[in-house]
Amino acid sequence: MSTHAPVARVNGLVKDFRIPGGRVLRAVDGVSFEVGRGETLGLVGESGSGKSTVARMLIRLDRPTAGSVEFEGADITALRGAALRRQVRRRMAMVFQSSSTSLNPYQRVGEVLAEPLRVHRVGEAGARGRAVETMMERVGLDPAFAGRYPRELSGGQRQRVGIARALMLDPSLIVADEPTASLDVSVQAQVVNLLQDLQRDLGLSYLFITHDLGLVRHLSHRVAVMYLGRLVEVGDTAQVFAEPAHPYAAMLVSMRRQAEHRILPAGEIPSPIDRPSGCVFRSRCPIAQARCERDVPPLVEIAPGRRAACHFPGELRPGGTDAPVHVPAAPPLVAPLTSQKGR
Amino acid sequence: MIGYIVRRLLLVALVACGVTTLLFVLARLSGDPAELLSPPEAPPEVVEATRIRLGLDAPLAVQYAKALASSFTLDFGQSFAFHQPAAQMVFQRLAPSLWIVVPSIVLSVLLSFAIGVAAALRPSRLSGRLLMAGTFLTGSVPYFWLALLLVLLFAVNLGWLPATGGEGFTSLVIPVTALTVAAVSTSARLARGQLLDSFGEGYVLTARSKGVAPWRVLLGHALPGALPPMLAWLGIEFSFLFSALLVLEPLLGYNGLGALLIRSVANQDFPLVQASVFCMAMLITLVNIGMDVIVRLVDPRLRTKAAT
Repeated sequence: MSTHAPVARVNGLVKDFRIPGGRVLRAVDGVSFEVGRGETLGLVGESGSGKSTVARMLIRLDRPTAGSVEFEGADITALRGAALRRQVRRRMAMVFQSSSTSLNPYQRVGEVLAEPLRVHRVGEAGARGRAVETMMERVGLDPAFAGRYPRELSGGQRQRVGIARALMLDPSLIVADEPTASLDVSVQAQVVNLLQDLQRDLGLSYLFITHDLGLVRHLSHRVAVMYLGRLVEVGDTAQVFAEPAHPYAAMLVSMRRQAEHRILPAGEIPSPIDRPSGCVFRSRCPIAQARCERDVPPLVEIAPGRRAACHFPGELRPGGTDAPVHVPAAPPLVAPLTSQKGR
Repeated sequence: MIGYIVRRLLLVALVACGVTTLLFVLARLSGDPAELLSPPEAPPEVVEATRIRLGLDAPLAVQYAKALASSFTLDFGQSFAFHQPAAQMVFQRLAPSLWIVVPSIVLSVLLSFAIGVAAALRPSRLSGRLLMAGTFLTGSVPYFWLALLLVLLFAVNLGWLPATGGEGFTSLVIPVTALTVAAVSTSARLARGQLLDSFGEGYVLTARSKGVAPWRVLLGHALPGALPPMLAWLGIEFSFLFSALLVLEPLLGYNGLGALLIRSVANQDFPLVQASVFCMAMLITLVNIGMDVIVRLVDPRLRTKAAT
């Protein structure tokens, strides 16, 4: 996918959290990437690697400690109030991980979906109602569900509501934070297919956060790998999965290979309060050397469109070949939908 | 919903019987009112005559049945000490008490909501911390001591307010202030805590990501989730305020239900004790049921399919 006209770009994002005892936890440390128009960028990493914090800074729910966020050509890092609502909230939307907690239990589905239009004063009440109905059909929900409360819906249906809500204002970028993590496998496939169909039809860009490697391989055009608050590798998905440059990426992609080719990292991910000096991955890296303890490896271009933060890129190579790309088995679920309950 | 309310009202009848039973047992354990009402050197026949006049000679079972029946007829008999129908006396004293309780509730709700919201919006800033420290301080002051201080300052030294509960608006200022201060601290802390919990909910983040204005996020998204515990607390607070009247009214010479109850207990005036406690218990129960019903109305998660 084209990356010459990115829809969003983050530069040197840093997020510090103050923790008890006057210490500082650096959750995100100098992350830079861009999301191209119509592109899906997969952001992968272990729990605690800072993926969600990056997403929340990109969508301006968290304020970066340092660095900048550009969106649709404008610097949105310091926007506030009305400008923030107009330039960011209207144009960028988030799909959250847990569909059960991200929907207000006191709002009916119809109100959940109409609220973005109402707060941004889009259309009058009748038009909003029709827009809600159209969008519900678009994501494969029976419009009759508009009068229901979120708890009366299944997990998959709720996540469709979450997606529909994100789409109500016709955004250019959707930030999806593990949108399928709380769903059953078969429902996951339906939601992923829905996201892909919507991208194709509406020209959406996605920042897709997940730790599901199969999903990233299937869904994203490019992939960015995070480890302990830093980006360690960015590149074309197929290339990264075929020939990872960073040892951590190599370990991740080796998980999709035959058992004998898997490279298991030593130990646990260190605490972000107590990060290793030099390269943050060195404490678990099988090819770490003295230099890795001293020098922080910068994220540099090692091939066109390919960046890695390692002093010895490409030296750790998993054997075998990448597993075939997983194609979800579920039938594509685009409206009109036949199998919803309550029809 | 109707079924729910009916079930809750049946519970009221149960509470009425329970309260009556408890009072009956405690009253009989507390001594012999006939002796108390007779002159100290009265001969046994006089005491016996008094006992018969008060109806205390009947078998306990009959007395108990009468007491139970009185909870439903609301006829509690004549006061031993005042020779007036007990129910009527209680009814007359209820209004002055409500004049203290209701303004205290209204004021404390408004104040604690304002303080809670203000503190929840800036939990880590100095102003938010100061607000919470303030409520902690006022919460640690006993209300009766505060009332005495207020009397000392505004009645004795400055002469702005009457020292004792006479008639009129000015005599309400001191008891209402003391009770409001006492009630505000806990509910303000509760409001802040509930709102902060609510701010942490995923759907509040969702609302922010939609671009909902901050005050709308607060009122439209965070508040509904925070409201049920706050409403339930209001019912509990109501009973706290009534119990505080038992101390405050005699202290301030205020002629309300609290003072009446304290006096009738001292007199072993069974009908009056029964009538006043019954009245308070019913009020508290009904208010709490009212809160339960409101909580159910505002919270769709508690509504069952059949009930909606």
